[in-house]
Amino acid sequence: MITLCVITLFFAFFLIGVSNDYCFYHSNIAGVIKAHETYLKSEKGPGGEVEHYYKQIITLKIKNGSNKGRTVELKNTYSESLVKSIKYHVGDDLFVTLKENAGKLSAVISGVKRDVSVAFIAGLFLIGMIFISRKQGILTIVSFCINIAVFIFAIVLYLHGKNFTVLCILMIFIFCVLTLCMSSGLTKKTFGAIISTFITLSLTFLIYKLATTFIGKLPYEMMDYSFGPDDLDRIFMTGILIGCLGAVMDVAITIHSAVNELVLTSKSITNKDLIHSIREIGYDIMGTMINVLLFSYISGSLPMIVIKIVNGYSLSSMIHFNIIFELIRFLVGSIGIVLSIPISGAVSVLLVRKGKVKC
Amino acid sequence: MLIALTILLLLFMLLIGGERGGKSFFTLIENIVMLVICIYFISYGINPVIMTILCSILFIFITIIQQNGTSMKTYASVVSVLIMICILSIVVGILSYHSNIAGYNELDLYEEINMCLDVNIHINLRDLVFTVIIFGSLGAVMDTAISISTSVSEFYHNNKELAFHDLVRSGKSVGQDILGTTVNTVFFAGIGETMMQTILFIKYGYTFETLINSKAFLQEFSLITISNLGCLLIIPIVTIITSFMLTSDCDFMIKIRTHIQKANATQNNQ
Repeated sequence: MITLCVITLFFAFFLIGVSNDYCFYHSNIAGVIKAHETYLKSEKGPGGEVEHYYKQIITLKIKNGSNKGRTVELKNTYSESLVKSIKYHVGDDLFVTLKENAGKLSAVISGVKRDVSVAFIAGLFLIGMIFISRKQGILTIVSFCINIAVFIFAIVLYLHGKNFTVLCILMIFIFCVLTLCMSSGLTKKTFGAIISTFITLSLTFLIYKLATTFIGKLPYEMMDYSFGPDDLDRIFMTGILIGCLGAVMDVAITIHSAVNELVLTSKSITNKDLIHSIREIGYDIMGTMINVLLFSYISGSLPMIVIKIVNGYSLSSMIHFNIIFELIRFLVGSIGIVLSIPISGAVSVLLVRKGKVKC
Repeated sequence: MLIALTILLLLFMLLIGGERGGKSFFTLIENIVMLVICIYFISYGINPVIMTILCSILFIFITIIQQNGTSMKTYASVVSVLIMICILSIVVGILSYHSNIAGYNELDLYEEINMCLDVNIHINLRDLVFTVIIFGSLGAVMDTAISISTSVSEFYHNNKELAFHDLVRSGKSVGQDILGTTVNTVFFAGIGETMMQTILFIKYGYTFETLINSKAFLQEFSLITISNLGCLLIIPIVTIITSFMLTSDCDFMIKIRTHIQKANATQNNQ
């Protein structure tokens, strides 16, 4: 209980520190101290909706640099739906570019300071992780950090012209081995889970590859952020495989642990009974795991979908061009989950039985 | 391609899961239909927050009750997921009020398609942030809730002598095992999805300073971290509620228990 209080206090201080870290920034930061809104105009939307526009006069107080302490006033226009514009509130911190003209200061907003929000949710997550699952939580966080570092390193290498396919295979290998070893230790079941994950991923990859070559190419030019790099198909494929990896590892380790547990508790269990229990566990996992993927993939593109529907896009054209990537990612991921159940089952039974013969 | 993959998925689910695989597939379709209906309602101007709450409740019922049947453990998980949604709403509310993460991010603004879209949509995108994050975490939260309440009620049925405290303790230890894997699922799903953005961040030479203040980063980061937070906090909640509902002696719980027994008995008779 005392540690909880200490950590909460520490967290609060940390947040206050982050929200006052103006001296670490090179760009100018100003805080909104006054905001006054007036109605500006109305515009008609695509479906006849009336959208109101407002004008804001905000007073900013500069918080760092040589002009610290001075105030500056500026105008901002925003619309009700806040698609491209931003409404500022008293207390917001903004990045500004300052200009001084004959002793009069003027400012242009270049961004919002969001580091406090990042610190807030990251901090909540860390505290929760450490409190709810102590040692395991710390290990998971460490494996997250290493995974992110590997991911960024791989992308930097790719941008320097290294072969993407090789990088992708290496990346997945490292992710898988590292995460599984960190979360369940160097045991036989971890080894089994790694093998089953690889087999499942290769099969899923094969299915995806067959589908793209024989049934039709995807409209890669419609992909989000497609203006960036060139080989979109390979990047998309890697994204699918990595997304699939987490779910497949989850299924694999669950089944391997369960089989281990079953064999330990009742040594005389027959293969038939084992397979039956694996099927039972499989039913339970399958439905909910697929739902996890559905919700986490589709939800990210919701705002875009809503904007497009209001703009008169039909559902079928959206499915074929706009959210096709989310859908395919989801479908391939689900196929991976379903496939990994029998594969993990088979590998775990083989491992358990082989170990017995040796003894 | 979509149709082919869907058929393949259905085939695999039927092959491996049999009748229950088919049931899961049916639940999935229902969820997707619900999602589409929800999106249409939002586009017609109904407040996203109200729509989100209504749809979340429906999603929870479809996924938990329909897929896993009526029993004490499913009721317990429904209650705890509802509590979890309330808690997450507070976090999302604080977040979206303070950080302006609604609307196009700086990467979206470069896209050609978005330039020709009319932005006078009369829907508050700040409320839509709420929808995105709650829906995004819902799947993972439900998954964790149902697996923990299943194990806790399994413990109870194997040994009816267990008291509230023993159940909570065993629930906690199960929770620690499950936690690592679920959190990893959400984490990798998120990383796979943000592949493109990460490439762009590095290509445009984002520094740490610009990154943690960027809208694109915060949108993705909050989605992943808040769904992980949901999986995390649901563990104690679902453990306590399931243990309480299984062991408590107050009249209301006993009523519910007899009600469930009756319902299941009539089902078995039919």
